[in-house]
Formats: sequence, structure tokens, C-alpha cells
Amino acid sequence: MNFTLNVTEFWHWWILAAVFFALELTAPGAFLLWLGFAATLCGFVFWAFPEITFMNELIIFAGVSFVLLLIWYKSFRGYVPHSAQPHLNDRASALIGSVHLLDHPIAHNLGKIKVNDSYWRVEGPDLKKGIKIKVVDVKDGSTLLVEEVVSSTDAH
Amino acid sequence: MSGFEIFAILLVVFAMITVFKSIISVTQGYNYTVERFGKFTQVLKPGLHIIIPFVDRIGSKINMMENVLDVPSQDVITKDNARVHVDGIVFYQIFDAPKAAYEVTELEESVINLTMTNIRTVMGSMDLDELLSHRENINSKLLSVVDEATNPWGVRVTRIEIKDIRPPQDLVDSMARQMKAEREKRAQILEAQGVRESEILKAEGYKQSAILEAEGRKESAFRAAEARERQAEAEAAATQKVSEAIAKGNIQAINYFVAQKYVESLKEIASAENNKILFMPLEASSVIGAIGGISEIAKEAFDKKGGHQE
Repeated sequence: MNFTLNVTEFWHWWILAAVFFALELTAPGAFLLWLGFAATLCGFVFWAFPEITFMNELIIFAGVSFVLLLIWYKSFRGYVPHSAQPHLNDRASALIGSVHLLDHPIAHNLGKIKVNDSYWRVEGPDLKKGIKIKVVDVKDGSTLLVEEVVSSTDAH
Repeated sequence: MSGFEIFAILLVVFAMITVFKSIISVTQGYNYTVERFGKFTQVLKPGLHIIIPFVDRIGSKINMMENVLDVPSQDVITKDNARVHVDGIVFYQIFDAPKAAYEVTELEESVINLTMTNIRTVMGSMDLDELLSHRENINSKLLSVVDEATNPWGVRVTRIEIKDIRPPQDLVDSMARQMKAEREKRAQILEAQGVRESEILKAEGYKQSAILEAEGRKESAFRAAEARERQAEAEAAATQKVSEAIAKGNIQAINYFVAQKYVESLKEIASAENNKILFMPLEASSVIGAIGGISEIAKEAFDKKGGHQE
């Protein structure tokens, strides 16, 4: 079978890009997006250099994909989109800054508080029952570090 | 197909696979663990990430959302040797993905089994009555134990609830009987109290009415006495006046008035229907004069009576 097609136009690559982008909508993950960008870029390249053979075009497409990947890895890896709720799935962090009343005294720096009908382990200074405390940090993902709320003018 | 062509095509395929393996998009609610040469290296939080392909691979996809597990039914023997059938539910959430992935095998199975054994422990130390009326206690005891135990696995247990506590049917029946007896006892006590109260009130009522009656009589006696007193006083005063008048005036005027009254009363007696009583003045002279009048009156009286007898 003769696979050599020399009749590809540069814009065929853009059709391919469109196909990739369309598939991206249905398939999970984001890799088709990359291939789509790579294909778009290739289209431009082959428009500029129409004498490249199809086989070479394929190789260049592969190369461009890798290069794009590398560029993203080096420069944009830390990109995290902004979230309206940054503490989703992280209940402990979501509690930082909240104020509660102690139901059980903190003894030997360990205690527990009740939030939303569920108990959290609490670490902080030894305090008696009924004192208002504020969560300041999270330790080990499930223990809350607390301190006493000192004045009544502390904002919630 | 020349070798070069095959190479080109394979290269493209390879590129696509590489891109596929490197670009990881983590869904919100999940954390992915990354292993490099089999060893855990990092956690991928929700969002876009690029990992080094063929060197790094995704180990596990951990669900970080709160989840619920059904604790299957089991038989537990309480402290007072009652056998109850218990099931429950556990709410948990993973807060540390690598620990959940690598510190424990079969996470759900482990949590369920842990809960089941602790249910037996906690319930085995309580009486049946305590069990049925203090579920809150059971739930919090279970929660504190199981939550502590699952911490090393990166799991936080938010709630444990006992769903169903089913004692054997004959126990349930006797409990129903006990309650019924309790209620009947109360009903009877209330009835008796009601009767007692009503009798007391009745007696009080009679007492009050007797007192009031007696008081009334006392009052009326007083008043009657007062009235007689007044009357007597008035008569005395009248008599006084009369005697004064007599002393001042003529005795004949008095005689006139006496005779007038006498005649008036005769008239009334005569007009009464079945009278037979006629009184006569003691004065001898007027007796003679009055005989004629008396015979007239008597005649009339008897005629009338005769008339009536028709």
C-alpha cells in the first residue's frame, strides 16, 4: 500500500486541529487540546513551507507536540485557576478563622470541639469549658490548632 | 510502505501517547497520587498538571468527598444478656490522599469492620434500656473510637449513627405490656383522685349551704325581733298619743270611733260566706238592742250558706 500522500494541503492540518478540539469536548482529560494546538501550529508552518513532504510533516507534528509540552512544563506548570471556593474537599482548612465555644475543656493541650454536629481534634493552650476559641491553623490535615479569642472586639 | 513512513507514523502515535500520559487534568473532588518508579512522590490536587511521562505514573485516584458506608446487621449481646440486631451507617471523608491510598488496603472494608467491632464493644457494656434510650451516647462513643483509629489512614469519620436496634420479638411484647400496665395504673390513680376531689367539694358545698342557711335564719330572727320591737314601740307611741288625745279631748269621741270599728268588722264577718261565728259586745243594754240585729245577721248567714249548698 502506498501511503505517501503528497497532496496534503496545509489547511488539512487545521481540519485535524478542529477535529482534536471537537473531540476534546467529549473525551476526558486535556491532552487532545495539546494535539489541537500542535496541529494548528503545524498548519501555519506548512503554509509557510509548502514543500515539506507528508512524512516530514508528521515528524514535525510530533516534534511540535513535544516542544509545546516542554514549554508548558517549564513555564506554566504552576498555573492554578482561581477558585470561588478554594477549600473544597478540605474541611479542616475551611474552618480556619472560625470561632467556637468550647464544650469540653482542653487538657494537656488536647481537646475536641463540635462543629456541624461532628467532632474535630483540637490542639491549643489549656482552657476551661465555655471559652471562645478561634481556629488558626491545621495540623496533619485533621487536627485544628486553636487559640483563645482575647477581646470581644475580635471580628468574626 | 517504506521504513521511513512507518517511522513517521509511529512517531506521531508515540507523540500522541506521550502527550496523553503527561497531561493530567484532575477533577474537583479527587486527588491523584503520582508514583515514580513505584514510589509515591506527589499528590495532584484538582486542576491541570504535567507529569513526566514513562517515569511518573498515576498511582490512584482518591475520592476526597464525604462518603457513606452501610454497616451491615449483626447480633450484639447487651450487658443484661438481651440479644439485639443492630445496623448502622458511617459517614467518612478522606483528608489525606496518599495515606488513604498506601497506608491501608481495602479502605471501606476496614472502616466497616472497625465500626462493627466497636459497636459490639460499646453495646456489650450497656443495658438494653440504656441502649434504647441513649442512642446519642452510643453514637458519640463510637465516633470517638473509630475516628481515632482511622486517623493514620488519612480518614476522618464525621458521623456514626446506629440505624436500627431490634430486640427479639418476645422482649418487644413484654415491653409493650409493661407500658400498657404503666398507663393503666396512671389512669386508675387519676380516676380515684377525681372521685376524691369531687366528694370533698360536695361536702364543702353542703357545709357552706348549711352555714348560710343558719346565718339567714339568725338574721331573719333578728329582723323579726327588731320588727316586733319597732311595732311595739309604735303602738306604745300611738297609745301614748291616743291617751294624750283622750286626756285632752272628750271620751264620747273615742266611743264613736270604737263603735265605728265594731260596725265595720260586723260588716266583714257578715259578708264572709261560711261564717257561723258571731261575737257580741258585752254591754248588756246594747245586747238587747243588738239581738234584733244579730237575728238578722244570723238569718242572712244561714241563708247564704243554704244558697251555697245548692
